[in-house]
Amino acid sequence: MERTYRSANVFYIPALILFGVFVVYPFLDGVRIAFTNWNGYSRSYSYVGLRNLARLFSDRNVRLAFGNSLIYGFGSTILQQILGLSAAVLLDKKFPGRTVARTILYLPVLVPAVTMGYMWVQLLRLDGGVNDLVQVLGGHRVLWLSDRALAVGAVVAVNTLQYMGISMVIYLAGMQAIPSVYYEAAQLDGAGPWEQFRGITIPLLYPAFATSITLNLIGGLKLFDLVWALTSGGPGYTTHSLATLIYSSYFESQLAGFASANGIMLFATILAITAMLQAGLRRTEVELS
Amino acid sequence: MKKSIWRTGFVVAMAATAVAASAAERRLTVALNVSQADATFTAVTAIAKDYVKQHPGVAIDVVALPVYEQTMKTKMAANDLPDLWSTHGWSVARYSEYLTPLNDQPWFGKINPTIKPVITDKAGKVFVLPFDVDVAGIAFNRAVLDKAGVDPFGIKTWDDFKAACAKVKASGKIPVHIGGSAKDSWTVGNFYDWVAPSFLITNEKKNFRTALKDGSFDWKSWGQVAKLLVEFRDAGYLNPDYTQGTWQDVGQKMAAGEAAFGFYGNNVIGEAKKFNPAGKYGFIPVPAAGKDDAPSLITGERVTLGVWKDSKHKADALEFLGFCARPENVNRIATINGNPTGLVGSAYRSEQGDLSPYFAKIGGVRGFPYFDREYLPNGMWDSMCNTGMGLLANTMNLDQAIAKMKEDYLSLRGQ
Repeated sequence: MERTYRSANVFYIPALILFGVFVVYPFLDGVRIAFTNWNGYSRSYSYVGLRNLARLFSDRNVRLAFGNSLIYGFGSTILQQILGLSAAVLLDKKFPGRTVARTILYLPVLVPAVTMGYMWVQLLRLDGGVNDLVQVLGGHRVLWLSDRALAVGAVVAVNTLQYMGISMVIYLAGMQAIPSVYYEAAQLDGAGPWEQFRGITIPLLYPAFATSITLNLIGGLKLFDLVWALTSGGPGYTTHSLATLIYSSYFESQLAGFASANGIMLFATILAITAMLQAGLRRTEVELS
Repeated sequence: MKKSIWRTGFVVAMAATAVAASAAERRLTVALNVSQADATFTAVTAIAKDYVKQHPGVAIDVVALPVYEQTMKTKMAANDLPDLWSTHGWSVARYSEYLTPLNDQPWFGKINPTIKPVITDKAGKVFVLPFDVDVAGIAFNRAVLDKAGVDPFGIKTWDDFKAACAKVKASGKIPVHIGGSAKDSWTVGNFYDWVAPSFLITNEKKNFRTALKDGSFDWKSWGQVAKLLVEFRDAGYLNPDYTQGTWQDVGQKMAAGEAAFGFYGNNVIGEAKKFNPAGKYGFIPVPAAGKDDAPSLITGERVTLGVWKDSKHKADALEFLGFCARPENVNRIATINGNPTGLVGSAYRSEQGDLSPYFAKIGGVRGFPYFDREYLPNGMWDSMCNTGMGLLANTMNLDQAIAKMKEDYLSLRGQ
């Protein structure tokens, strides 16, 4: 029996090799580059010790990007859970057009983030659709992507609208896996819809919460494509996420070493936050079971 | 019978494959930093076709690489480059490490003296064939200026320029269209490339040429350059959507007679002509910072081609470059861009069309290279663009913008 298992090990070696070549090696090389002053394309560079890592703590733009990444990560995650769960609860009930409604809410997930970003850039222009609507409602036209708070808010809003469909599907799947006998028993005991939701649906959706929150949080923390399409980190450097700042530092400012140091920080941040989140969610799940 | 048909077919197929393979072995790739819709792309493609007709063993693929600069940087890092590529102003500072020196080429002695210092490195090596020379000032719509009562050639200093802007504003038009997208702020970087020499370089009595090159530049002096844009904004001289406009808007608004000035090369006039070919456009030299200096022009590389030093087809690539250097080919590309030719001699001449009178007027005006390419370390273009947009959008103050410029300058100088 033991021999069978040992021979089965051979089958994951190709996957291990691919993982090593395309993930582990680039990561380790990225760590090495973080200690150099490489411009990203030249054959020559020198090692500069901890200078790039030290700059992470003194650079205003890194602080801005770090803060923005947390806003994109947590802001989008919270909004996506609220909207996704609400949509799931509504669309779990049987009514005509339910499938169409589900499809419409999920449809934005299928649109590439870059396309979505460019669509919203046009809608948010001074002479764009959103300002037309604002004017019809009696307001003044606004340069939506010119102010940090508005632009960061726009990124969170568009990201939420685009990906709430994923949360909705996860919660719908979770709700459909809850046996109806629990609700029938609760009804016999006189529990109303809110008590049923709070006492049965929410606790039994914890695995779905863990999946949805983790996926949304990781996606939000490393958000790149939507930010790039919508603002490219501007105006100035104010809406950069850590991921777009890495790209901008590497390819535009030609600071490949600094960009790599940023990459290490992004990796460590996501690892730490998701590890803490997973531990927290697991503990709550155990307490409830 | 059937067998012999198959056999003949097989032999023909093998022969065709062999011919194709031998052609493929001498296949050159020419990468350009323009879109396929650009007239330069069409012209280079036509030149390549002419060359291939005369050299049947060679095939040439002319490609418009997407996201050109980033793609080329990745290709350089991988040392996997096209046989020839355009260097968009960076033949020395960025690409020379990967290019073949061309000083031994037959056309070398014909390089236009205006462009020669710009494309020559410290060791005297030249790495590109320049088809034309970028000569740029501030583009304008003549009809808008006439209506506002502005004589463009009366503008000598920035104070004169501001007075002209006030008149244009009073006439109900946009004095300066900066484009100015917060998303893609290259138009703001371009503004600084135009303005910075007048404050820091062009004055023979007081300039910072040496300090900028040896690293001793006091970045407080950048404040006067950065401030001009803020002054324009605060005076209402910029387009109202100055943080969400685009480069295309500049040409469109100039064509529609809604905007007066654009801080771009003459390509913005080409853009305006797409929308209104009958419009009257021109350009003036960039004003001086004060009365103790004179207006100047911005000069630099425009359309160029260099040869990869490790190309497997270097001999073919150099021969193609020699073909490109023929008068008919150089003249063709220089005329498309309305610029002087990059090579000089009796057979080399370009047509400037409607801009001819303006080119005639700038004779004797001093030309200075693009500021960032000459005086800042490679990579600072992005810093100029983003700090400028930060100032425009009020997400940065002057001190923060200066500090960021200084930090990047020191950091990139250390590379």
